Amino acid sequence: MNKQKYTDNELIDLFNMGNTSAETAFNYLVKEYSQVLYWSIRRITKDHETTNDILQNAWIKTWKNIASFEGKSSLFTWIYQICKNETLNLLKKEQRHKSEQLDEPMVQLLPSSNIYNKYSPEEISKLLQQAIDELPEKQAIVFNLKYFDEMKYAEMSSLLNTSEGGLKASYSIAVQKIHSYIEKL
Amino acid sequence: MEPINELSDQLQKPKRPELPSNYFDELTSNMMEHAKQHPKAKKITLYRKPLFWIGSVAASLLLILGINSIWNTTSELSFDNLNQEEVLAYVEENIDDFDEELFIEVMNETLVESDTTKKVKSNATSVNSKSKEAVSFETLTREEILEYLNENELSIEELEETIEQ
Repeated sequence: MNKQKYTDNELIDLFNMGNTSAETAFNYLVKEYSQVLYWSIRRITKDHETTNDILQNAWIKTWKNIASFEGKSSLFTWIYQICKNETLNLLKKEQRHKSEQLDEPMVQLLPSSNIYNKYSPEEISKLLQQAIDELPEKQAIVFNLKYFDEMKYAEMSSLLNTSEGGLKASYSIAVQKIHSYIEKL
Repeated sequence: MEPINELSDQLQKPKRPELPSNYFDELTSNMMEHAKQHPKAKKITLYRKPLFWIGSVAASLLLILGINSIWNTTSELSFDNLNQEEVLAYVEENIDDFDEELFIEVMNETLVESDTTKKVKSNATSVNSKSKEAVSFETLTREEILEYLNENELSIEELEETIEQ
Protein backbone atom coordinates (compact mmCIF):
# COMPACT_ATOMS: atom_id res chain seq x y z
CA MET A 1 0.00 0.00 0.00
CA ASN A 2 1.53 3.29 -1.11
CA LYS A 3 0.62 6.15 1.24
CA GLN A 4 3.48 8.40 0.25
CA LYS A 5 2.73 12.07 -0.35
CA TYR A 6 4.44 13.68 -3.32
CA THR A 7 5.20 17.34 -3.98
CA ASP A 8 4.70 18.80 -7.44
CA ASN A 9 8.45 18.74 -8.06
CA GLU A 10 8.69 15.09 -7.11
CA LEU A 11 5.76 14.27 -9.38
CA ILE A 12 7.38 16.14 -12.26
CA ASP A 13 10.58 14.17 -11.70
CA LEU A 14 8.59 10.95 -11.84
CA PHE A 15 6.84 12.04 -15.03
CA ASN A 16 10.19 12.90 -16.58
CA MET A 17 11.57 9.47 -15.71
CA GLY A 18 8.81 7.99 -17.91
CA ASN A 19 7.51 4.41 -18.00
CA THR A 20 6.33 3.03 -14.67
CA SER A 21 7.52 6.12 -12.75
CA ALA A 22 5.29 8.32 -14.88
CA GLU A 23 2.43 5.90 -14.32
CA THR A 24 3.03 6.09 -10.56
CA ALA A 25 2.81 9.88 -10.72
CA PHE A 26 -0.35 9.75 -12.81
CA ASN A 27 -1.94 7.17 -10.52
CA TYR A 28 -1.18 9.42 -7.56
CA LEU A 29 -2.78 12.46 -9.20
CA VAL A 30 -5.92 10.56 -10.20
CA LYS A 31 -6.33 9.10 -6.72
CA GLU A 32 -5.61 12.33 -4.87
CA TYR A 33 -7.49 14.85 -6.97
CA SER A 34 -10.44 13.03 -8.56
CA GLN A 35 -12.84 13.54 -5.69
CA VAL A 36 -12.40 17.31 -5.47
CA LEU A 37 -12.46 17.65 -9.25
CA TYR A 38 -15.57 15.48 -9.54
CA TRP A 39 -17.61 17.75 -7.26
CA SER A 40 -16.27 20.89 -8.90
CA ILE A 41 -17.53 19.63 -12.26
CA ARG A 42 -20.79 18.29 -10.91
CA ARG A 43 -21.73 21.62 -9.36
CA ILE A 44 -21.92 22.85 -12.95
CA THR A 45 -23.20 19.85 -14.90
CA LYS A 46 -25.66 18.66 -12.22
CA ASP A 47 -25.53 15.00 -13.25
CA HIS A 48 -23.23 12.06 -12.65
CA GLU A 49 -22.89 10.69 -16.19
CA THR A 50 -21.84 14.01 -17.71
CA THR A 51 -19.49 14.66 -14.83
CA ASN A 52 -17.90 11.25 -15.26
CA ASP A 53 -17.38 11.81 -19.01
CA ILE A 54 -15.79 15.20 -18.42
CA LEU A 55 -13.54 13.96 -15.63
CA GLN A 56 -12.30 11.00 -17.70
CA ASN A 57 -11.63 13.26 -20.69
CA ALA A 58 -9.79 15.68 -18.43
CA TRP A 59 -7.54 12.94 -17.06
CA ILE A 60 -6.82 11.63 -20.56
CA LYS A 61 -5.84 15.16 -21.63
CA THR A 62 -3.71 15.54 -18.52
CA TRP A 63 -1.78 12.38 -19.35
CA LYS A 64 -1.44 13.30 -22.99
CA ASN A 65 -0.36 16.91 -22.38
CA ILE A 66 1.62 16.67 -19.16
CA ALA A 67 4.78 17.70 -21.04
CA SER A 68 3.18 21.09 -21.71
CA PHE A 69 2.84 21.81 -17.99
CA GLU A 70 5.11 24.82 -17.38
CA GLY A 71 4.92 25.17 -13.61
CA LYS A 72 3.23 28.58 -13.77
CA SER A 73 0.67 27.21 -11.33
CA SER A 74 0.48 24.09 -9.17
CA LEU A 75 -0.28 20.80 -10.89
CA PHE A 76 -3.69 20.79 -9.22
CA THR A 77 -4.56 24.25 -10.56
CA TRP A 78 -3.46 23.20 -14.04
CA ILE A 79 -5.60 20.06 -13.98
CA TYR A 80 -8.50 22.02 -12.46
CA GLN A 81 -8.36 24.37 -15.44
CA ILE A 82 -8.39 21.44 -17.85
CA CYS A 83 -11.55 20.20 -16.11
CA LYS A 84 -13.13 23.62 -16.30
CA ASN A 85 -12.37 23.93 -20.03
CA GLU A 86 -13.72 20.44 -20.67
CA THR A 87 -16.90 21.32 -18.78
CA LEU A 88 -17.48 24.56 -20.64
CA ASN A 89 -16.75 22.93 -24.01
CA LEU A 90 -19.19 20.13 -23.34
CA LEU A 91 -21.92 22.47 -22.17
CA LYS A 92 -21.34 24.59 -25.27
CA LYS A 93 -21.66 21.52 -27.48
CA GLU A 94 -24.87 20.60 -25.74
CA GLN A 95 -25.95 24.24 -25.99
CA ARG A 96 -26.93 24.51 -22.39
CA HIS A 97 -25.60 27.16 -20.11
CA LYS A 98 -24.05 26.25 -16.81
CA SER A 99 -26.35 26.41 -13.83
CA GLU A 100 -29.40 26.53 -16.09
CA GLN A 101 -30.58 23.15 -14.95
CA LEU A 102 -32.87 23.40 -12.02
CA ASP A 103 -32.15 20.16 -10.18
CA GLU A 104 -29.49 19.83 -7.51
CA PRO A 105 -29.25 23.44 -6.33
CA MET A 106 -25.82 24.25 -4.91
CA VAL A 107 -27.23 26.20 -1.98
CA GLN A 108 -30.46 27.45 -0.45
CA LEU A 109 -31.22 30.48 1.65
CA LEU A 110 -31.67 30.01 5.36
CA PRO A 111 -34.97 31.17 6.90
CA SER A 112 -32.94 33.64 8.96
CA SER A 113 -31.61 35.29 5.80
CA ASN A 114 -32.90 38.79 5.11
CA ILE A 115 -33.52 37.80 1.47
CA TYR A 116 -35.12 34.43 2.31
CA ASN A 117 -38.35 35.08 0.41
CA LYS A 118 -36.66 36.76 -2.50
CA TYR A 119 -34.99 33.78 -4.19
CA SER A 120 -35.72 30.09 -4.64
CA PRO A 121 -32.83 27.61 -4.05
CA GLU A 122 -32.37 27.37 -7.83
CA GLU A 123 -32.27 31.12 -8.25
CA ILE A 124 -29.85 31.78 -5.42
CA SER A 125 -27.65 28.90 -6.68
CA LYS A 126 -27.57 30.48 -10.11
CA LEU A 127 -26.66 33.86 -8.61
CA LEU A 128 -23.91 32.31 -6.53
CA GLN A 129 -22.46 30.56 -9.59
CA GLN A 130 -22.55 33.83 -11.53
CA ALA A 131 -20.74 35.56 -8.68
CA ILE A 132 -18.10 32.81 -8.60
CA ASP A 133 -17.68 33.11 -12.37
CA GLU A 134 -16.86 36.80 -11.90
CA LEU A 135 -13.90 35.97 -9.64
CA PRO A 136 -10.33 35.63 -10.95
CA GLU A 137 -9.50 31.97 -11.58
CA LYS A 138 -7.42 31.43 -8.47
CA GLN A 139 -9.87 33.13 -6.14
CA ALA A 140 -12.67 30.99 -7.58
CA ILE A 141 -10.67 27.83 -6.94
CA VAL A 142 -9.89 28.86 -3.37
CA PHE A 143 -13.53 29.76 -2.75
CA ASN A 144 -14.81 26.45 -4.14
CA LEU A 145 -12.31 24.38 -2.17
CA LYS A 146 -13.00 26.23 1.07
CA TYR A 147 -16.73 26.80 0.89
CA PHE A 148 -18.00 23.73 -0.93
CA ASP A 149 -15.33 21.16 -0.16
CA GLU A 150 -14.61 22.55 3.32
CA MET A 151 -10.94 21.91 2.76
CA LYS A 152 -8.55 23.02 5.49
CA TYR A 153 -6.10 25.77 4.58
CA ALA A 154 -3.15 23.47 5.34
CA GLU A 155 -4.33 20.89 2.80
CA MET A 156 -5.19 23.57 0.26
CA SER A 157 -1.77 25.07 0.77
CA SER A 158 0.01 21.92 -0.41
CA LEU A 159 -2.48 21.45 -3.24
CA LEU A 160 -2.08 24.96 -4.63
CA ASN A 161 1.54 25.59 -3.58
CA THR A 162 0.44 28.75 -1.77
CA SER A 163 0.96 29.93 1.79
CA GLU A 164 -1.97 29.66 4.18
CA GLY A 165 -1.86 33.43 4.63
CA GLY A 166 -2.26 33.95 0.90
CA LEU A 167 -5.18 31.52 0.79
CA LYS A 168 -6.94 33.25 3.68
CA ALA A 169 -6.53 36.56 1.90
CA SER A 170 -7.88 35.11 -1.36
CA TYR A 171 -10.87 33.57 0.39
CA SER A 172 -11.65 36.71 2.33
CA ILE A 173 -11.61 38.82 -0.83
CA ALA A 174 -13.67 36.23 -2.73
CA VAL A 175 -16.38 36.21 -0.05
CA GLN A 176 -16.52 39.99 -0.02
CA LYS A 177 -16.90 40.08 -3.81
CA ILE A 178 -19.65 37.47 -3.72
CA HIS A 179 -21.49 39.42 -1.04
CA SER A 180 -21.21 42.60 -3.07
CA TYR A 181 -22.42 40.82 -6.20
CA ILE A 182 -25.50 39.39 -4.51
CA GLU A 183 -26.29 42.56 -2.56
CA LYS A 184 -26.17 44.63 -5.74
CA LEU A 185 -29.16 42.72 -7.17
CA MET B 1 -14.87 38.73 11.46
CA GLU B 2 -14.78 35.19 10.00
CA PRO B 3 -15.73 35.29 6.31
CA ILE B 4 -17.16 31.76 6.35
CA ASN B 5 -19.78 32.86 8.90
CA GLU B 6 -20.91 35.67 6.67
CA LEU B 7 -22.09 33.17 4.06
CA SER B 8 -23.18 30.56 6.59
CA ASP B 9 -25.60 33.14 8.02
CA GLN B 10 -27.35 33.33 4.69
CA LEU B 11 -26.80 30.08 2.83
CA GLN B 12 -27.06 26.38 3.48
CA LYS B 13 -25.50 23.62 1.38
CA PRO B 14 -27.68 20.60 0.66
CA LYS B 15 -26.29 17.13 1.28
CA ARG B 16 -24.30 15.77 -1.64
CA PRO B 17 -25.95 13.06 -3.73
CA GLU B 18 -24.73 9.46 -3.38
CA LEU B 19 -22.24 8.16 -5.93
CA PRO B 20 -22.01 4.62 -7.33
CA SER B 21 -19.98 2.48 -4.92
CA ASN B 22 -16.27 2.18 -5.80
CA TYR B 23 -16.69 4.92 -8.37
CA PHE B 24 -13.32 6.54 -7.71
CA ASP B 25 -11.47 3.19 -7.58
CA GLU B 26 -12.94 2.23 -10.95
CA LEU B 27 -12.13 5.63 -12.38
CA THR B 28 -8.50 5.23 -11.29
CA SER B 29 -8.31 1.73 -12.82
CA ASN B 30 -9.74 2.99 -16.12
CA MET B 31 -7.33 5.89 -16.26
CA MET B 32 -4.33 3.69 -15.48
CA GLU B 33 -5.41 1.27 -18.21
CA HIS B 34 -5.47 4.18 -20.62
CA ALA B 35 -2.04 5.37 -19.46
CA LYS B 36 -0.49 1.92 -20.00
CA GLN B 37 -1.88 1.79 -23.53
CA HIS B 38 -0.65 5.29 -24.38
CA PRO B 39 2.91 5.70 -23.08
CA LYS B 40 4.16 9.23 -22.41
CA ALA B 41 7.31 10.40 -24.19
CA LYS B 42 8.07 14.11 -23.79
CA LYS B 43 9.67 15.72 -20.77
CA ILE B 44 8.29 18.60 -18.70
CA THR B 45 10.28 21.83 -18.96
CA LEU B 46 9.46 24.30 -16.24
CA TYR B 47 9.07 28.05 -16.71
CA ARG B 48 10.36 30.40 -14.01
CA LYS B 49 8.62 33.58 -12.92
CA PRO B 50 10.66 36.82 -13.07
CA LEU B 51 11.15 37.71 -9.41
CA PHE B 52 11.63 41.43 -9.94
CA TRP B 53 8.14 41.86 -11.35
CA ILE B 54 6.58 40.12 -8.36
CA GLY B 55 8.70 42.27 -6.09
CA SER B 56 7.67 45.46 -7.84
CA VAL B 57 3.98 44.71 -7.60
CA ALA B 58 4.23 43.64 -3.97
CA ALA B 59 6.21 46.72 -3.01
CA SER B 60 3.85 49.05 -4.78
CA LEU B 61 0.78 47.39 -3.27
CA LEU B 62 2.32 47.68 0.17
CA LEU B 63 3.10 51.33 -0.55
CA ILE B 64 -0.54 51.95 -1.45
CA LEU B 65 -1.79 50.06 1.60
CA GLY B 66 0.69 51.94 3.75
CA ILE B 67 -0.49 55.27 2.42
CA ASN B 68 -4.09 54.21 3.02
CA SER B 69 -3.31 53.44 6.62
CA ILE B 70 -1.59 56.82 7.04
CA TRP B 71 -4.72 58.53 5.73
CA ASN B 72 -6.74 56.48 8.18
CA THR B 73 -9.60 56.18 5.71
CA THR B 74 -11.82 53.18 5.02
CA SER B 75 -11.58 51.63 1.56
CA GLU B 76 -14.31 49.67 -0.17
CA LEU B 77 -12.54 46.38 0.52
CA SER B 78 -11.72 45.69 4.14
CA PHE B 79 -8.16 44.60 4.84
CA ASP B 80 -8.84 44.41 8.57
CA ASN B 81 -8.22 40.68 8.64
CA LEU B 82 -5.07 40.74 6.55
CA ASN B 83 -1.55 41.22 7.75
CA GLN B 84 1.43 42.19 5.61
CA GLU B 85 2.47 38.57 5.13
CA GLU B 86 -0.96 37.68 3.77
CA VAL B 87 -0.95 40.59 1.36
CA LEU B 88 2.48 39.61 0.05
CA ALA B 89 1.45 35.99 -0.29
CA TYR B 90 -1.69 37.05 -2.14
CA VAL B 91 0.29 39.17 -4.59
CA GLU B 92 2.79 36.40 -5.20
CA GLU B 93 0.06 33.87 -5.84
CA ASN B 94 -2.04 36.15 -8.03
CA ILE B 95 0.77 37.80 -9.93
CA ASP B 96 -0.68 36.69 -13.25
CA ASP B 97 -3.87 38.63 -12.51
CA PHE B 98 -2.03 41.93 -12.13
CA ASP B 99 -1.93 44.13 -15.16
CA GLU B 100 0.95 46.60 -15.36
CA GLU B 101 -1.06 49.44 -16.89
CA LEU B 102 -3.86 49.04 -14.38
CA PHE B 103 -1.34 48.98 -11.61
CA ILE B 104 0.36 52.18 -12.74
CA GLU B 105 -3.09 53.78 -13.01
CA VAL B 106 -3.87 52.82 -9.41
CA MET B 107 -0.50 54.16 -8.29
CA ASN B 108 -1.19 57.39 -10.13
CA GLU B 109 -4.65 57.82 -8.63
CA THR B 110 -3.30 57.11 -5.18
CA LEU B 111 -0.39 59.48 -5.37
CA VAL B 112 -1.92 62.46 -7.12
CA GLU B 113 -5.44 62.53 -5.74
CA SER B 114 -5.89 66.26 -5.24
CA ASP B 115 -7.62 66.50 -1.86
CA THR B 116 -5.23 64.10 -0.16
CA THR B 117 -1.93 64.96 -1.74
CA LYS B 118 -1.00 67.38 0.99
CA LYS B 119 -1.51 64.73 3.67
CA VAL B 120 0.65 62.27 1.73
CA LYS B 121 3.39 64.79 1.33
CA SER B 122 3.46 65.81 4.95
CA ASN B 123 3.28 62.22 6.22
CA ALA B 124 5.84 60.99 3.71
CA THR B 125 8.22 63.72 4.77
CA SER B 126 7.89 62.82 8.44
CA VAL B 127 8.38 59.11 7.73
CA ASN B 128 11.42 59.71 5.57
CA SER B 129 13.03 62.12 7.99
CA LYS B 130 14.12 59.07 9.98
CA SER B 131 16.09 57.60 7.10
CA LYS B 132 19.80 58.23 6.68
CA GLU B 133 19.40 59.78 3.26
CA ALA B 134 16.43 62.10 2.98
CA VAL B 135 14.02 60.95 0.25
CA SER B 136 10.76 62.77 -0.37
CA PHE B 137 7.79 61.61 -2.39
CA GLU B 138 7.53 65.23 -3.49
CA THR B 139 10.53 64.76 -5.76
CA LEU B 140 9.75 61.25 -7.00
CA THR B 141 7.47 60.45 -9.90
CA ARG B 142 5.62 57.17 -10.12
CA GLU B 143 7.84 56.15 -13.06
CA GLU B 144 10.91 56.72 -10.92
CA ILE B 145 9.52 54.58 -8.12
CA LEU B 146 8.63 51.72 -10.48
CA GLU B 147 11.97 52.02 -12.27
CA TYR B 148 13.81 51.84 -8.97
CA LEU B 149 11.92 48.71 -7.98
CA ASN B 150 12.58 47.03 -11.31
CA GLU B 151 16.24 47.97 -11.40
CA ASN B 152 16.90 46.64 -7.93
CA GLU B 153 15.18 43.31 -8.56
CA LEU B 154 14.12 43.12 -4.95
CA SER B 155 12.74 39.89 -3.55
CA ILE B 156 9.61 39.99 -1.41
CA GLU B 157 11.59 39.27 1.74
CA GLU B 158 14.02 42.09 0.99
CA LEU B 159 11.15 44.44 0.34
CA GLU B 160 9.50 43.54 3.60
CA GLU B 161 12.74 44.24 5.42
CA THR B 162 13.17 47.55 3.63
CA ILE B 163 9.62 48.66 4.41
CA GLU B 164 9.81 47.61 8.04
CA GLN B 165 13.03 49.58 8.59
